[in-house]
Amino acid sequence: MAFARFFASRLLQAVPVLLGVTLVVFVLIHLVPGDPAQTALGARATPDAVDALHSQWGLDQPLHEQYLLFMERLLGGDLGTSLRFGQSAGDLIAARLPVTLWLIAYAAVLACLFAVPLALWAASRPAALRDRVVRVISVVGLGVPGFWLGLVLIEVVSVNWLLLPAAGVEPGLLGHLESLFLPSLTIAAGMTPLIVRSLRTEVLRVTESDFVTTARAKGLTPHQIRMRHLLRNALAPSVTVLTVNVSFLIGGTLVIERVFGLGGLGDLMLTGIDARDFPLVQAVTLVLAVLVVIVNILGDLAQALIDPRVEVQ
Amino acid sequence: MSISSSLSRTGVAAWYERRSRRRRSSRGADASLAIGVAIIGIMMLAALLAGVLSPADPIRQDIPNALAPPGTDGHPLGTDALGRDVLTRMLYAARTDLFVAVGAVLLPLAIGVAVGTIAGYRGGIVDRVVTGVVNVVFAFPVMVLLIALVFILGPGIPTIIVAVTLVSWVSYARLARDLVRRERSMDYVLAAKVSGLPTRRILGRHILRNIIAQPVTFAMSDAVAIILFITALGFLGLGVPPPAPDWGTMIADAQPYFTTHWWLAVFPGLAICAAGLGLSLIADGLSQKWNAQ
Repeated sequence: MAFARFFASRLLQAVPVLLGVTLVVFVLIHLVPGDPAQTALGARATPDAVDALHSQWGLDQPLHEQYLLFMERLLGGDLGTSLRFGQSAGDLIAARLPVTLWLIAYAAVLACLFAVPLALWAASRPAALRDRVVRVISVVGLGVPGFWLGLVLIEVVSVNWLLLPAAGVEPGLLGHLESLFLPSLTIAAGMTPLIVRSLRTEVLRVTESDFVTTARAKGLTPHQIRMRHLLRNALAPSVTVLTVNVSFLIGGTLVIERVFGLGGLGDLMLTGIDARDFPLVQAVTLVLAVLVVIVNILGDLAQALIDPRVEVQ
Repeated sequence: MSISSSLSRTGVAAWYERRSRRRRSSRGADASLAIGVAIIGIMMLAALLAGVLSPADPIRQDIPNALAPPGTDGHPLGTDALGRDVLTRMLYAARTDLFVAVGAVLLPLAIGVAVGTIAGYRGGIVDRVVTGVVNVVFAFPVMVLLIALVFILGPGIPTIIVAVTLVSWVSYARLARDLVRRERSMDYVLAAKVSGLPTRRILGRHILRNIIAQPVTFAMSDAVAIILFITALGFLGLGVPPPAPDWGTMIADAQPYFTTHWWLAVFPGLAICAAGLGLSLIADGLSQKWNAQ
């Protein structure tokens, strides 16, 4: 019951943010210098075609009417029509979404596999050699550009060692796991330093708490304390750290998809940009922002399930 | 035995241990800072002296001498697919990328701290509006909103700085707001208020001075991300318009030649890594110093 109430109030909190997101996406088209319809169609477009696009996008109406129209279509599930593909943007996105979601989940899992042991290892002896090694790894790792690391990995692993596919997505679960490994690894490499830092701080905080002192006083070995008490209590903060960085994760996906030619949402957005396809770019931007909001809600829920002390602020 | 050792840890020994740990970490912080400042200083100096260090023209094409390997006479790092000198282009690219990064860090820092300070101090409706806007911008993945804005506003250096500012002022605003809210009920602020100082003076002279260290530290770690964003935009073809050199664009141009002429993509990539490393060392040093206090 308490959980249901938590869920409801968390959803309610998201409503104004989602409204704001739609407003920002709506305003985007009005930031285009000059006439967006003219820009989209090119200099040689006939005035009739420009007029037709004006009325299709509702640009001939007052601003607040336009927003209401935009929202009305949106709530009816209409994300607009792509100029480049002449198709509903919603359908295009639905077809590309699975690859992007795969990539995000895969990268998050890999990042945790690297970050959690590193953070625990570093936090087990603060200021000792191992702590400094982990610190150096994360300081160096922060500055490496993902798109470049991706290219280097393709060259070394795929071209030289002939180990993994260099581009594209193979069908099936195993095919996905194999062909998305390098792109996910690239994204995970960028995320790991961020997660390690926050997680190390969190674990140290837990280490200094009373229940760990109690466990130590009871005579548990450091290993037992780490496995039974620290790890479990470090789980909640790692979920937080992951959700805080999800926006970084999704942004990274966008660029890495282009490097590995994966044809997900990022690729769709960049194709839309090349074609000056405003409705498509708006739709992808909106969907990705909504994705961040959803992941944040899920993160908070997971948090509440792990740690009964969590409450909505 | 175990009792006596645990007792001694709580007393003088613990104090000594804490002090020596603090000293050790402060030495680490100084080292991080020094190396970071040295890296960034050398890169900035090289960027400023680009014309002196390498007299070649960064955009003049020389097709007959294209794709020369590093070590070629007159081209220490070789030439690209259009015969342009790679070292020269990297130096001019440093000028572009570091200049854009400075603008794209300082502007959001100034705007974000100003807005956040006012929101935190005023509270009420101002605070609620600012917090609402901040939450909405935070909902967008940074890179996605950045790409959308650069696309919408059109290419160019001013666009990139404006786009980064629109996206990243919110982090500073949130940070400054939280700091000021904690600060505003402190005795020294109340004393300043009672003595009749105008709000602008309280905010500017007293509160700002006490909170500014944290946003500045954050700005240094933000700068690492900004460098990566700018070069990623260049890589995607949305950055500084050609033929002006930028590390990201250089890597994108080198992509088809990676297998045969790897150095074309590797050198600019290493330059980005070096800039990133320098900035993140500075950020690391500053935050260690901040934590030690």
